[in-house]
Amino acid sequence: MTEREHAGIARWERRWLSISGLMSLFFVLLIAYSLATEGAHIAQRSGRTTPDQLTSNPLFAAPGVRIMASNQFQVTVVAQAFAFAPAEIRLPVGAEVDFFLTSRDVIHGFQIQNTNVNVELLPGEISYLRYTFDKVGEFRLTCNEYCGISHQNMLGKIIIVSASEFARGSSAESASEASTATNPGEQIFISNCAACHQATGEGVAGAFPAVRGHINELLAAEGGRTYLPQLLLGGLQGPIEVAGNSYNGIMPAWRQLSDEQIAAVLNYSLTAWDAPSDFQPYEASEIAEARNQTLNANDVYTLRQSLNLGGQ
Amino acid sequence: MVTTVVSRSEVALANPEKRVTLWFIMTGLIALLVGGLLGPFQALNYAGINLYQYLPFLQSYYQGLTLHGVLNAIVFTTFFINGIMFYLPVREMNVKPNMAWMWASYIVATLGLVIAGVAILSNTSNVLYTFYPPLQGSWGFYLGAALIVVSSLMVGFEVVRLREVWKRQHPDEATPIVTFMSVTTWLMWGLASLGLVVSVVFFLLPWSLGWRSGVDPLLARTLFWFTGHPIVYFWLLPAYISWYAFLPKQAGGELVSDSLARLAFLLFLLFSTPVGFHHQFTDPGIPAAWKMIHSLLTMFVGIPSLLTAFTVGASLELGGKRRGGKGALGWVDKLPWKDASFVAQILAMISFIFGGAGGIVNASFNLNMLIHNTAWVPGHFHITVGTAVTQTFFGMTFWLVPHLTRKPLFSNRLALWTSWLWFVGMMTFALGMHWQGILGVPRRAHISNLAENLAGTYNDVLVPRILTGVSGVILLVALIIYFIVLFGTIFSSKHLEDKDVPEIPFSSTVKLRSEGIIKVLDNIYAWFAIAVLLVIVAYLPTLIDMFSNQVLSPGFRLW
Repeated sequence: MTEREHAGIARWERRWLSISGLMSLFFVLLIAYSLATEGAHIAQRSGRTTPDQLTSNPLFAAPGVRIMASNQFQVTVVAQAFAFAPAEIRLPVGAEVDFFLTSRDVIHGFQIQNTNVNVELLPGEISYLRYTFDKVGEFRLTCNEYCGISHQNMLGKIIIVSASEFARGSSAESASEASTATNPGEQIFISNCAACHQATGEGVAGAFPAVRGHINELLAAEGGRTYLPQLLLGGLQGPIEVAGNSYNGIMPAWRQLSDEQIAAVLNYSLTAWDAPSDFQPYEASEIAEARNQTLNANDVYTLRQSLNLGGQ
Repeated sequence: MVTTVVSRSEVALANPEKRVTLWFIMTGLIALLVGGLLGPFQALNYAGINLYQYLPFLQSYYQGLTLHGVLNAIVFTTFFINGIMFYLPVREMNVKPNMAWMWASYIVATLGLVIAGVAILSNTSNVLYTFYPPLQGSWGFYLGAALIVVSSLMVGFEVVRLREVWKRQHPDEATPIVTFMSVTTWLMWGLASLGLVVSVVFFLLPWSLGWRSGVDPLLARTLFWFTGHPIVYFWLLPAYISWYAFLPKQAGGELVSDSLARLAFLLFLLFSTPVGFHHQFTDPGIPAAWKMIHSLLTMFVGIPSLLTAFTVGASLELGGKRRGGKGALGWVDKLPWKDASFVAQILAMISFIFGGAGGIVNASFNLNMLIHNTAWVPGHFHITVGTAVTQTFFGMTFWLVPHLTRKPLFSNRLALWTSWLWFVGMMTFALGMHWQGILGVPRRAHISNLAENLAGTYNDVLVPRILTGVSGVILLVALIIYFIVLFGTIFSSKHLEDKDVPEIPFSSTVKLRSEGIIKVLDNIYAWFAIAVLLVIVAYLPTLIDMFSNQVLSPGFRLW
């Protein structure tokens, strides 16, 4: 190559290098400006907690929407395989929302469609962010971090309504809450089990087995009465068949619930959906005894296989 | 299969390193064949078509995705790079390598592949190639992956050692350019792999064996991304070596600036590693200020790529003009568009223009929020590692495999077809996936198998999902054609005459008035020390805090 050719290239080289540097710098300035003016939606650590302390943490004892002031809301969500609790969040347009988010088991994602809300939910970490929804509508809430076999089904909804509609809805809700609050077992079921098994107890075919219709089969089987508390305390892992559908997911352990709470939720699930007439409700002492055995999800699966259920 | 291949081929006795190189690249390419064949199933999943029940050896989409990611991104890349980033500097320096050590490295890598492969195929390790705890795979998964990394460090060590040998023989000369680039890449990888090594050896392996009750998920993620971002430069820089050192020659020109090419590699050595937090913008527990610093440093690592675009572009222009091209763009037409090796690589470079631009979006702390963990991300890395890197490696094999085996390329025409189809397929895939990502479709989700009550969730995103599905079919055809060319070459009964065996296309480089600069740049260890210092500054405060405040999580197997 000639000196002249080289000098020409070298001149453009210097220009290109300067342009590259200036462009990068410009991008950095834009990022900094945008974060400084509207960066509140970026999640930060608000604290740390272990998953077994979640129920005793005032933020997460009953996850959901709380009205803090006239236009200020607090939303707490607990993610676990494979559902958000709560899975549906209703808020009025324009509300300033403080989100507190965490996971009970593995890493999950929390992304709201059409917004910049996008958070990694780690077990042990409580994430905090602030967001104001300025459009009415229904937005997908997705878990965008792989969390296991049914990850694709871990979806929720954020429903943003007008202020007047919200006022109507929330008064109706609190009225219905008041009427159902009489049964503590139902409360526990709704806040802990319904995300997967649905409030009706019918589950989701292929993803989460039904409780309704199945729990009585379990109780009736030989050894079934001791199996049920173990199922809640230890969780369950392994391929099972319920009402003609195959499942190969995992049920997390619910050891964090007290003996009284586990007895109450079992009694609710049994009596709400056709318990036999001679059903003797579970006592807390029975659960306490079961708790001493400390079975894990695989042990519970072995126990389940010894039940001699039809179809297995 | 490979055994017969190698024993039948006449590997030149004068260069025993040819045989180990061929084994490394062929094992890598066979891994890519298996991993690549799973790709169309994933693309069709995004179009809503679920074909996994027809794959008898797989239990689920997520098992297939784990296999796809590990085979393509860890096995293929490492084996192939172990081969070329050993062979090319060795031939350039003309030194005698330690062959026993190299075969040991090959055996370690293959052992790792077998152990990890068994773990994945047994359905015990569906943790995807990011293996974030507390999802827990079997110990074989972590051990296998670690052994593959160990093998690469063995090769890197040998190349760095050989440069020392060469330096002693040539005390007054600057390191030749391919060796310079290889050594800086290996040193960068040595530093970068530290995160993964610490994570596997001290946390994941003992945890999966039951010797440790739990791991801190945030710490494990941070160590993963300490390695997980620079690993993309470990994949990319060997492709850059081909673009800088070989492509100008293949286009009929020369590398227009020797010193600028070296500078680009030094910048990669400095800035590849202290940038990992830009994969963790949405993680709580890392202070926003540190995330911003990593965002800034990631912008800097874009600069050497922009330099590369200029230098390689100018070198190709020079080539086109020497072939008779006139005017501002007339030279483009004169480039060797019938040479499959050249075409594969120039298309790879074009894909990287889009890949690089998307990378700047990913690295922007604010923009990342919209696309983090969405389909955008696999869209991005299929035109970077999946095209810029993989297709450059394809292009290299079109001369390298005939060079190593002394067999003629099976068909230049088919090689041209696969190059264009791969490019078009990947660009279509990327368009579909980036588009879906912006509309909030999550990455790696089995959306063709949604629960009944959720069916139709993503029906508002139909057009880009169809694009992704179509691209899977195009890529399947491209993949099959590529392997017809590759196996057709290897199993050919024809042998090339000595004069017809392709040489390594080392380009001549322009060093006008830059001898002094090159000497300064040649103090690689001093630059390495600065790189270590930068990593310490960027990571140490956060890592100390994470190590001293761990909240342990037990393992989960949720599949």
